[in-house]
Amino acid sequence: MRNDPKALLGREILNAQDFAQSPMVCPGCYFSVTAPVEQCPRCHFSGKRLVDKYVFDAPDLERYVDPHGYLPERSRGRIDQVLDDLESDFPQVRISICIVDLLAEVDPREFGFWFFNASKVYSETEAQRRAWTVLLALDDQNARASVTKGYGIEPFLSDASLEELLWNERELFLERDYEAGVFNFVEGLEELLESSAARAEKILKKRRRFWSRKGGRR
Amino acid sequence: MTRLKAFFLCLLSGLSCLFAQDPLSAMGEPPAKGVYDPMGWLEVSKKAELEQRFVERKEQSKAPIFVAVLPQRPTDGSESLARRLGRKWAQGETWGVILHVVGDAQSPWCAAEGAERLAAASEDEMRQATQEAMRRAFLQPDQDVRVMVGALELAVELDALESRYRNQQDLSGGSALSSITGSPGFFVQRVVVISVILLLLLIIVINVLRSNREEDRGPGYLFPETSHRSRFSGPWSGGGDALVRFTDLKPRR
Repeated sequence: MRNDPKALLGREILNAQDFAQSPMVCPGCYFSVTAPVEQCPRCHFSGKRLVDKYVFDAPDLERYVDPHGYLPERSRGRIDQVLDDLESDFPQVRISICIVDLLAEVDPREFGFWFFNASKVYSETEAQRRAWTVLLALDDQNARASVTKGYGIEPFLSDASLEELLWNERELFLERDYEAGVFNFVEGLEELLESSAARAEKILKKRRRFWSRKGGRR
Repeated sequence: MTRLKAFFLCLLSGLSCLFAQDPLSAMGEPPAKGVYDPMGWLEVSKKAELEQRFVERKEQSKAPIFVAVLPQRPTDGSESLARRLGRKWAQGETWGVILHVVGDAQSPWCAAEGAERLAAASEDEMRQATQEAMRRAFLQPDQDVRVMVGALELAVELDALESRYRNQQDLSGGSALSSITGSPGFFVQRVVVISVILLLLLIIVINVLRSNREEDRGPGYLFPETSHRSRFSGPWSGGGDALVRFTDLKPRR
């Protein structure tokens, strides 16, 4: 499944709802909202409140955020290969792997939301890429993992399929074999993106057919 | 004084023997038309006829015949020289040599040898061939005719041997081929050539597959740009609901 990047230049911005596969969920209370809201109607969760909760600065959102060195250089080299492959097949997409020790009461989904949004954006390139970033957050202390995705890639990845990918590697993660676990996760993610790309193309084709029948805009 | 003269004569003759030129080295390259006769002992017409026969025969037979005419008998024996000449001139082929010494009543002498492919032909068969050629040659009274008949008869005998050998190989179902191709050197050579060809093919196939794969990868797929469902005051992400606890016994969903 390939398309010409030049053909996408200057394309119209499509409605995310046409592609979205998952509901929007509050990272604080996991309540599903039907439309974008500034704060959760149930728990009043918002990014602003979260900044007050996490008093320290978020580190840069790099390919590896691993302050305790759970992934040695050798392991990163192996993972880099699949990451490079994925990012070459899907040039918009960027993967970030974060392995930290969280407090038991901190939910990795909430941590992911905070880290993703609080991490500084220093350049225009970073601004463009941030929305297409997929953050894999691994909590070594409490044997948990979550995936947070930017607004750009969000409609094309469902939470359920991402959770399934994590679940498939749970034994490796539990044994702290992060190299193999992350490697397999990235490979699985690439397959997921392949099928999402096929699905997106199907939807686009339907749209084009619809508009060509109408004789109006695409 | 006489003794001293005799001593010097002996020394001189000994030295002359030592430094005497080997007739073989003097004869150099094989004669182009098969007849070595630097003194022109053979009549021109007979020599031409003989050479003509050799040239015609060369197209059909792999066993060259040479005629050599020498002015005197070689020191190491005529038959021995004939053998050495044949080995030198024929270079591995089956060959026959008729050697004639001018003025020698016992002339000509004959020698022949089989090439490797004629290994099946025993020495007895070769000896019989040369003897038969000489028997017929000596039926002729004139020495020049003897030389001609001897050479032509030897050619006939060697051709017969070659032909018989070839028939035997054909009857034995191509064992001649296997005797050549079955040699370890040939086998190794063939294996090396085939391996190199296969290796080249493999490299080509791998490169084609790789380039196809790279082509398939192409510039990569770009997802369509969509509106951002910005929420919860998150500028880049609205979070997500993908969570796994590795200690759980079953998935959440």
